[in-house]
Amino acid sequence: MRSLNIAATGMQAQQLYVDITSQNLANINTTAYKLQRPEFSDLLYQNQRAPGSNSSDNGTVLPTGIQLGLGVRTTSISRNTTQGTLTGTSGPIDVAVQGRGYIQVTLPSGQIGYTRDGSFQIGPDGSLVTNDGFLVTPTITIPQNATSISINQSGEVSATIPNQPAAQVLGQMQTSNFINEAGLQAIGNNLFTETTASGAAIVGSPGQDGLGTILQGFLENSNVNPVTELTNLIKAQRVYEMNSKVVTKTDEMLQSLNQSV
Amino acid sequence: MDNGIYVALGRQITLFREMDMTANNIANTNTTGYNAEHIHFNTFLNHDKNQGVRNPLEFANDIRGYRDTEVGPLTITGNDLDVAIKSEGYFTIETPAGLRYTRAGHFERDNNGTMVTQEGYPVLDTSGKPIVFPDTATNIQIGSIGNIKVNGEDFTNLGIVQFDNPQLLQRLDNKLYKSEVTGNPAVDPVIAQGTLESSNVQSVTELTNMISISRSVTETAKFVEVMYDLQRKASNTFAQQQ
Repeated sequence: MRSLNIAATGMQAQQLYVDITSQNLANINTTAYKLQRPEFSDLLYQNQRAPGSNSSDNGTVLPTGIQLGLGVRTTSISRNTTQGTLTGTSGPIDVAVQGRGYIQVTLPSGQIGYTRDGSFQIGPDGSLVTNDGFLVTPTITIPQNATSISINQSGEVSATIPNQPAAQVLGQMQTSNFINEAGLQAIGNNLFTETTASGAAIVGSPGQDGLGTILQGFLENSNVNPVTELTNLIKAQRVYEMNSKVVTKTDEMLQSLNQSV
Repeated sequence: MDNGIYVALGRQITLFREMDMTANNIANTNTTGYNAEHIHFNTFLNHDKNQGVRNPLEFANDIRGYRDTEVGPLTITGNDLDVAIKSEGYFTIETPAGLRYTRAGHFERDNNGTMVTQEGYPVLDTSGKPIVFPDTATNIQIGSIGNIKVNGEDFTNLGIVQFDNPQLLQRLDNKLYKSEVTGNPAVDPVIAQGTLESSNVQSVTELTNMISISRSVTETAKFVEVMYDLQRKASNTFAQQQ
């Protein structure tokens, strides 16, 4: 009885679809969250009658055979890296990347993490840090007496310091690009790390070599669309139900066989 | 009289096979680019040796499966490497085992910039070469005839092929098809970027099929029961007469 196992693979796949959809919905208000989507594939086929085999002694062949599929499996969960909408926050050290690019962050392990969440804070030593206190790389230190901080499109950070007429340049933000953004590994807290699939980081200045520009006073919203997610939830639930119906019907079929013996 | 039971048995076997096929369609309802598979029945004639052609026995025979090649509904995803074929045709994929074809256009770029499937197999262009995007490719546009533009400049064309008889394609896993004959370049393909083709499984049809298969199994089982009963009665009658 293949249909019982096939329905089981179908139910597992749809269960995962619900899991991913709920993950997307839970992160709908997470800054710079990128929506995920599972990708399903059919399993191997068993040839009951091979296409092209002889159907008579006169050399006529079967135009098609009978291929019985064995169900479904999840091949990947991919991240949709399209730009999220931007919200103005008027925070001087809130930044959004408009276009491609990730801001580098030094993780406690010393490894470089990448994020698009630009809701930065000022650390105890005046340096720019993430909400978890991880240093933004390259380090930008803001003097204690700085009165107004401005970050321009290409990521240059400057501030006005009392008794000095001209604005002081404090540092230059850098962003990284990847050939395959979707191949980055998510490690939670809106952070990603480089993998062999993503390729090495291509570090550059915002606005150059295809890198997106920096927008001060804005944060990037998640790119989750609630309507799409709710539709997906319905799709997953209905297909799950249909698969469970297959189990019930197969069971009924076997029952009627057993009763007739 | 025994033959009646064999005919019923043959029918039961094909019904269970049809159920497996329906279950596979239902399981793949949410699989991108999946085409529903159905079964064709014809009768298998077996001539009674003693009476020649006058008293043929007809067995149910599932002669072949056929793939529903209608284009499935399109879902908009917004990813620039998600492409759907809105007409007849298949993407050409290079796998270690040779050329394969698919309608599932959920592609990615790998760490070399090559356009690949979810399994990492390169997607080929019209000249049969993998499509490798340069590092500076920030804006990839795929036009409605499969022409790829990178940063506004013509780059290459997606290798979309079609077959004289698409039913001859053999199904493999991962939504790939294998062909013994080489495909011809597709005539006027219609491509949509940022879109994926959903499976063309019709839930209503599959559910109705499932119910009718299940009913047929019950009926055939009942038939076997009646035949068995008849045989039992017959042998009882003979036993009493002896």
